[in-house]
Order: sequence, then structure tokens, then C-alpha cells
Amino acid sequence: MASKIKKPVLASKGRKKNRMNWGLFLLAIPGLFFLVGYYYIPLFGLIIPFKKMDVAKGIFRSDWCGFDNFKFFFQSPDVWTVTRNTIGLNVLFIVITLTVSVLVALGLYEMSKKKVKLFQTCFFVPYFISWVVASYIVYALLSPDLGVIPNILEKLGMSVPNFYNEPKYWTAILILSYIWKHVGYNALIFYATLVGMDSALHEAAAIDGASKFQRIKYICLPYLMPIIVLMGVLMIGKIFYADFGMFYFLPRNSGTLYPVTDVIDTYVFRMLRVMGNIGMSSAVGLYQSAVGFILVLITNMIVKKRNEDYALF
Amino acid sequence: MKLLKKVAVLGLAGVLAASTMIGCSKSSTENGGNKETNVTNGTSSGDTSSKETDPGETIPIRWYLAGSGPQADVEAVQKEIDKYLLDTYNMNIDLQIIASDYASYTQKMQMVISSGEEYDICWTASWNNNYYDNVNKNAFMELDELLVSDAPELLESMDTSIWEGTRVNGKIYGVPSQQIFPKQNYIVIDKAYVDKYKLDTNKVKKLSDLEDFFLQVKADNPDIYPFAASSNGLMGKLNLAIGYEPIAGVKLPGVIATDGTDYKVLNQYTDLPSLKEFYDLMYKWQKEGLVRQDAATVSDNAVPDIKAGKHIAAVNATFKPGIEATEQSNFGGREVVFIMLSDSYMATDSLVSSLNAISRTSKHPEVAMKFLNLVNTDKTLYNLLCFGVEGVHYTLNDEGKVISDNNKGYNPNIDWMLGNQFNGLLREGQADDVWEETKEINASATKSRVLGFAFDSTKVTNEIAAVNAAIDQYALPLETGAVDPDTVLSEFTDKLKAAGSDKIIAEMQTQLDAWVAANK
Repeated sequence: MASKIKKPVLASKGRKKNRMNWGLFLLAIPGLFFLVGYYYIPLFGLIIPFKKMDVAKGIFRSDWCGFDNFKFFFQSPDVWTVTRNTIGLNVLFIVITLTVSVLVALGLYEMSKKKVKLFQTCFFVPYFISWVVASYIVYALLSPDLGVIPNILEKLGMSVPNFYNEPKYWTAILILSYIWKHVGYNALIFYATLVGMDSALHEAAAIDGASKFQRIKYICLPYLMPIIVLMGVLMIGKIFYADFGMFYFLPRNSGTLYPVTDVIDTYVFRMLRVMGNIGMSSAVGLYQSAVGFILVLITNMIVKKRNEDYALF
Repeated sequence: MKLLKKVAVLGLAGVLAASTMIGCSKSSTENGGNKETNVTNGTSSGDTSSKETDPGETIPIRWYLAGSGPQADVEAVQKEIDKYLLDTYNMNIDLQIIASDYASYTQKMQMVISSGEEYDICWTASWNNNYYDNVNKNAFMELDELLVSDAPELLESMDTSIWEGTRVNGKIYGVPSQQIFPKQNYIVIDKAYVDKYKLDTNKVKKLSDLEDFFLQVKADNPDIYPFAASSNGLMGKLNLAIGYEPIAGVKLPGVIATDGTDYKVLNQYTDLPSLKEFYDLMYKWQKEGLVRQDAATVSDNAVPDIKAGKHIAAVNATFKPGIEATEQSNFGGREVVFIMLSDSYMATDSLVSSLNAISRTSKHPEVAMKFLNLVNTDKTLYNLLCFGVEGVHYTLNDEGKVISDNNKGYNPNIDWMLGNQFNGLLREGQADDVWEETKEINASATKSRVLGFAFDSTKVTNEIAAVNAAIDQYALPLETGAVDPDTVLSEFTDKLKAAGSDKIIAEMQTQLDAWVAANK
């Protein structure tokens, strides 16, 4: 698709433009260095999963060991549970966060500037709170002795569950926490897109007698769609990665909750934190990236089939 | 297609970049390697004599330690040590101590070791920054020759049986700190409650004997959870009381029963009724409010809660002379009573409970060895490391005992990590004969029948990884009584089996049989 656009541009503006623009290139140099230094050079690390690491020999001279480093992960009995949790929870996160963010953005769009400032700030603050701090907030709400919720339940004469021991509540708790933390940030992106929209569209629609709901459905949503798809595809690329901070700190590493809260990242961390085997941990990292990469390609392909303009590449 | 081409070109560029890197690092490591061998070859003969007259250039010695974290005034102590070594031994080093806290030490060292960072000495043990794992990774230098050439005094200061205990595949990789070696599990109880409820401590032989006492306390003080438990778990503190000795890590399946005579490796989770009894007891106590419900999520060994009086009793792994002062401070200065829950027992991992190893990446292993030699044999140096500078970081009382002050910027409190504890000054409140007593316990303790056996885990790494994950899921809730052992324990053992616990135990048995055949 890119080539389709480029060709006429080149033809019309002549050859000169195709030459190196050294001024612009100069500006790009720091960024290029960053890109090459942090994204391309470390790629050589991809050999680590296939090496039997020997500290004395270093990365390059350690012996090759084929797929041995991958075995431990696929051999372990919990692979299915943690993979299911990782993908399942992430899919829920993506769908729910996107939906709620769009709704919040639409709500903000209908508000006066002053109110927007207030709401935007309130929504945005949690994004800057680390999961470690958030875990203590949740603990203050749920801890069996002093927690706010158990105490309220007790006052109301209801039976009080020990939240850190009962897996059934945790899918909901995790989703709520995720929304709390991420909706503000995503909503801001959607809101910024909406603000950039030409107000003439709305005015024309209003004159033609379109209701508020109709305006949202036929003007705002289609306008947001490319951004929603873009955010969605980017999130899907990370679907095999779990937010380690969240899954490790929120449930306070409570063993009884693992069937619900354990994800690939926390699981591998627990398997290897004592052994510190770099080959094995990078093997899982490679596996996660490879699957993520494939998923992005597939999603992009599907999106492209539906509507070529929405596709990422 | 276009995209593919682009990717291919970029990929090629990446490979090229990487290959130039390969070239670089290869040659540099080769040079490094050559240098090392040259130095070690030339040490004992030429270098030492020339150093008597000319201290030569300053050699940095980086030493990684655990503890309560970095000390504010560590630099002053390092300078004092550098000066002392130069004046006394004509040894020109620049000591750099890098201390981190216990909880993050293992992870930090794994980073340091995996990244191939250049350092000289690090502290290692069977229970933190695992000695055997690191040796298997080839992270440490063999010390046999270095000990003979550069640290003869250190080599002689310890009985050969102690050195034997540190050998892995026949080689020494770490210098053990002389201290108390055997373990003896104990419970420590707030004396006020013992007196108030007239507990006869002589009648308490095992944990369950305390149940009535705890129930009485709980009945009168509903806010108190008498028995302390935390996310650190209890197994490492009670394994001798429960009756087993671990072969490779206190939670990993594969133990020897302490009271047996055979060399059979057991799976403690299925083969030891006493462990199930312990789980049952904890579950019962949790239901009765003797242990807090969310113990598994409590950090810091529950010490803040013990200090605050929320718990009145705690268990610990190693009773040793002089521990009274430590426990009393854990209990916020209140008087405490000790009850032993096991005999004094020298397990096979006792000898590797605190070692200092020299890194494979060290540029000056012989200087590091000389330094360790002095740390373990020179009292002045050792006390500088333990307590800092006299008059600045600590003062001596009338009896010549150390009074440390946390506000003075240096009080790491890791004497047993640094070196030979018998060379140390006494702290205020420690009895004069504390080291005599310690030596006596070291000599008199029941010795494990597998003392000196070390498990090589390389063949079962995959299984250990999977088993570790299962243990993390189930062991702690069971130990803290959060779940019912009748239903959960069998689920746990099934999962262990699926993860490969039988293979681990079989491998342990094979290695142990070979060891028995060679040594008994």
C-alpha cells in the first residue's frame, strides 16, 4: 500500500526530493542510535536460549545446547494453566479497557473544558502509581484483619471471605485494578483524537436532526476506529506478556491464588529465581516474543482483509 | 514482499553488527584469560618478594555481601582497611564493599554473575546465592592451589573435615566462615506470658505441647495471634524438629530422616508422617486463631509484629550461644524464654552455610585470596570489617565489649558472613565464653551420616524448575495453615510427581549411593 502512495509523490515532485536530506538525517541520528543500540544490537542475545551458559566462557563461547533450555517450560505441568491465564486475562483486559476507555473519552468529549480537566486528572493519576503501591492499596481494602471491605461486610453481618485465600474473586479484582490503572491513559488518547475532529461534522449532523446517540454512532465511533484498531493490535502484540508487577504484587504472591493469578511471567520467575539460569529465562522470553510477533501479523492480516486503511503495515 | 525484503536487510545489518561485537569480545576475553594465567603462575615466587619493598599499583578488590543493605559510612571503613593493610602487610588494595539486603541478594548476584561482571569476592551459602548452583555455573574459581600458595594460615586455621564439606566434585570453591555449624531448632516465647500462665517449659518437647498455653493466651487476648508465621515459611526453621535433613534445599523433595541409619532418600511430602502432622497442627491453629489467617502474605519474618507484641512466640533454625540478645531485641527488649525443639545436629549443608568465594572473573585472584587469608586470621582487620573504626563507629565498654550505634553509620551485624567469628570482639551482652561454648557445640553435635555429601543438580535442572514452581504454590499455604492438608497435600504431591519429583529423588539416591560407596 505504501508504494502505491509513494510513487505518484515521487513522480510529481521530481528527483531532487529523493536525495538525502542531511539536515533531517542529522536530527534523526540520536533516535537512530537509540533504535540500533537498544533494539537491534541486543538481538544477538537471541543465541542465549540455545546455549548452555558458562560464566567463565561468556555468551559466545558457551556450548550450544539446542532446544534443551526450552524443555523445562513445556515439560512443567502448569504450562496450560499459566498460558490460559495469560491469554485469557489479557484478552479480557484488552476488550474491557478499550470499551471503557472509549466510553470515558466519549463522556469527556461531551463535557465542558473545566470538568474535563478535573475528570482527566482523576482518571490519569492511577497510571503513575506503581503496582507495588497499588498492591498496598488493595491490601488495605482486602486484608482479613484490618481491610476496609472485610470490616464493612462484618458490620453488615455478612460472612467474610479471606480474599487472599479464595481464587474465585481474583479475576474480578485483577480486571478492576487493571481498568483503574489503564483507562485514564487510553481514554486520553481517544479523547485527544476526538478533540481533533472537525466540529462542522457535528454541527451539520445536528442541523439534519441527528440525535446525540446517532452522532456518537455515526461520527465519533467511525472517527475513532483506526485508533482503536491500532491500540488493539499493539496490545495484542503483548498478549503473551503479562504485566509482571501487577500479577506479582497484587495477589501478594499467595500460593492458593495461583490457579487464577499465575501467568507466564510470574511462573517463570518462580521457577528460576532461585536458580538464576539465564539460558532458560531467555528461552521463555524468546517464546513469548515469537508468539506475540505471530499474533500481531495475524491480527494485522485480518484487519487488512476487513479494511485496508486500518492496517498497521 | 517489500516488507520482507526490508526485514531481511535489517536482519542482515543486525547480524553484521553482532558479528563485529563477537570479534571484539572474543579477543578481549582471550587477553583477559592470558593475563590471569600469567599472574597466577608468577605469584608465589616473584611477586610476593618484590611486594615487600614496593607495594606496586593499587589493586581494587570488589566484595559483594548481603546483610541489612549498604552502610552509610562504609567508605571510611574501607579507607581505614586499605591504610591498615598497606602499613602492616605492604599490601596495596582498594577495598570496595557492595552490600545489599538478604531478600534481593540472590537475584542481584545472579545478575552480576550472568552478566559476567568483573568482581573479586562474593558471599555465598546453601540458603542464599546458592553455592552449588554457582559452582555448577562455573562462576567461582577453584581455590585448592590458591589456598596453598597464598593463604597457608587460613588453610591451617580450619580442620580438614570443614574443608572437605565445601568440596564440590572434589574441589574447594569457597572459604567457610568459622562460626556455629550445627543447627538446633528452638522456640522463643515472651517470658511475661510464660510466667502469667505458668507454662512448665520443661514439659514442652514438641510444638503441639504448646497448644493449651496458646489457647489460654488467645482466650484472654483475642487480638494476639500467639504463634508467629510469615511468608518466609516455617519449614526451614523446623525441619530438624520435624525430623529430616534436606539434601538440596529445605523445600526440595529429597531428604534424609535424622533419626534413621540407612541412606534412603525420602520424599518428605509423601514419606514423612511427621510433616503431615505439622501441617495438620498449623491448619488447626489457624482455625483457632493461634496463627494469623494471612500469615503467608506477611513479610520481614513477622519481626515488626513480634516487636509490637502481636505474636508472643516464634521459632528459629539455629540456637547458638549469644542468640539471647538478638531474640530479646526482636521481642522489643522484653524478656524471653527458650525451648529447644530438636537436638544439635550437623547437617551436610551446615558447612556451607556461609562462605566467601572468589569470582572466575577476578583479575587478581591471588590478591583476593591473600585478602581473605588476612580477614580470617588477622583480628584487627576482622574487627574493622565487623564493627568499623573504634571511637567512630563503636566504643568499648569497661569489660572491653563492643557497643555499636546504628546512628554512627557502620553496624552491618554480619560477623558470621565475613570470616572467622572466633577472632571477633564480643558484643555487649554476650558472655565471655561464647566462642568457647560455640566451639564445644561444633565438636559435640550429632553429625549427619551424609555429612560432606553435595548434590549435583545439573542432570535434573528442568525437573527442579518445575518442582520449585509447585512448591511455591503449595508449601507456604500448608506451612502457615491457610489450607486443609487433608485435601491439598495429595493435590500437592500429585503435582510434584507430575513435575518430576521422582526423577530428582532417584538422581539423589544414585549420587548418594555412589558417595556412600566411596566414603563409608
